[in-house]
Amino acid sequence: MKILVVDDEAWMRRTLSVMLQKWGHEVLEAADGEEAWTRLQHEPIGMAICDWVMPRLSGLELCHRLRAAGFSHYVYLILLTGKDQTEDIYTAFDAGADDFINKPVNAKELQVRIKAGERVLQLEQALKTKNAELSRVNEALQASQAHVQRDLDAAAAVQRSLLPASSETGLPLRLAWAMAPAEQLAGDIFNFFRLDEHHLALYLIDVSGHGVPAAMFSVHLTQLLSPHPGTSGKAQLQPPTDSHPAMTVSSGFATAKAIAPQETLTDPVAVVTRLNQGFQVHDRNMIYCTMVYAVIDTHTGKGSLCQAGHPYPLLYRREGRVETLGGGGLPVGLIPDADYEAVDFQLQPGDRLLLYSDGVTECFAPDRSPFGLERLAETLRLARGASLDEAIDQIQEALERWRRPANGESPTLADDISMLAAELDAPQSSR
Amino acid sequence: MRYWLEQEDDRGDLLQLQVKQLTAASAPQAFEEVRQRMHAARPLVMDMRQLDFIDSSAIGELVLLGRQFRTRAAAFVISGLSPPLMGLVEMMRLNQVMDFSPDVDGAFAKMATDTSGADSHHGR
Repeated sequence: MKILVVDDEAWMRRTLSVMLQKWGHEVLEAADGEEAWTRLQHEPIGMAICDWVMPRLSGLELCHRLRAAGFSHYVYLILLTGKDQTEDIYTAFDAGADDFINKPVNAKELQVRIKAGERVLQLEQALKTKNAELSRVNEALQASQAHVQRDLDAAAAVQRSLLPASSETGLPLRLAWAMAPAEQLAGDIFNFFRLDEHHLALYLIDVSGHGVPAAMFSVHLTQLLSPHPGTSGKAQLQPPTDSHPAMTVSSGFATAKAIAPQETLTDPVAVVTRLNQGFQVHDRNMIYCTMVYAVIDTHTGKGSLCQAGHPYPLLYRREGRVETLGGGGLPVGLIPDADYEAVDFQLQPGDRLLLYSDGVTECFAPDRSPFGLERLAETLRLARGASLDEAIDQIQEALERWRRPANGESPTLADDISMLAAELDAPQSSR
Repeated sequence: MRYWLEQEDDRGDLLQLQVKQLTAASAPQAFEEVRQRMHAARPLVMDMRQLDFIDSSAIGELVLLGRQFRTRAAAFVISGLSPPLMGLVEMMRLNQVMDFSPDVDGAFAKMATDTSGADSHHGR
């Protein structure tokens, strides 16, 4: 180790130097504090043995200056003191000295004190190496985190692009919706599309769990439930083909091969049954979904829906009543041979059908009480004078008020909130 | 057992859930503990009167557990679910694929009847 010996008496410096060299250290000398300070600034010295009383700059002043300088490496400082200088020793430790040794110097004592100092310096060096390693790891983690975040942003953008862009269907009915994901990626997904000159299909799906797996599954379902581009408005569940690899590649989820190529999207029970046959949970894949799929004949107002483990759809009647539709049903993907039921309904102009995820009814107030079905129905009823868009806004506002503590900001959502509503227009001839 | 308290009962195994919530984070471990008690010759009651919230992932785990019990021809009944949770069970028609009872006595009685009579699930 490189040790600096600082003493204004040359014979003392020589004596110490000889001892230290004998123990294998490289020794540098300085005749006072100022000279020592210059050497410490310019050479990588690990330890200094320093006299107390010296001209120009004392050992104590050197201590102060050294600790104030904050070198990148640690300098272990041993002060040489006279006997019975207890008060001075306190002062020296306070100034930043690491150890002291009484004059006249006992060789054995000096040797063990230097060894103790070496142990401290080795620990300091090991800590520095670890810190540097941690900094490198931290930088790598930050870079990786930024990468994941960019991917999540991109995935969220893909998901948003799958939500309806316009309520324009060319059919005599209005549509409105709202979506608030609990995390950046949602497990809820909904859509609607025109099946032919009269019929509209609409659905709302809630995939179990959250995050990336739920979001990927929801995107996959959206693809399966999109009208086929090449069939002139005649929609069908897309068959697995080479041009749609997402349909044929088993990506941890069950494949969609069980869905028959010619299956149309016009029969809610058939759609739900086919999806259930195509996706089944197993030990390594616990993803399933709940959904409502509905088809409405916009000219007659006749509708049919299938409820699969999903909250009961609400039907607001123009005269002010709210009815629940359906009697329950098994979720999609849990029971291989589940039977599903069709629920028929009749819409009159001005009636409103509301599909929603359980994030709405299970939206919790600060005291953990849920928003609930009755409160949702009442909010829908109270929005009777409002447009469909306004009615959805009013439900969203009611949920926000429900969640918010008396004084403070709303906590993050525990579950995705999504709603999709349809209202039949009055027939043109009757206007 | 971490999630369940095992109660002595000469009619079968009685497990009492010790937590109020079952979620994606806790359900796999909670149901794994039940799985270890799965035994074809001995009826099992899962007393869930403590439960006040179950998330969708935990429901999936519960149904999978039910499927595994059926595969092994082992019987279990869930007892004591609160009315809101029974509402959820009915909405999801889980009562078509699993047995529920308001209380522990009813649960054991149900299994005594089932083993002496026909299977109530007809192959689901």
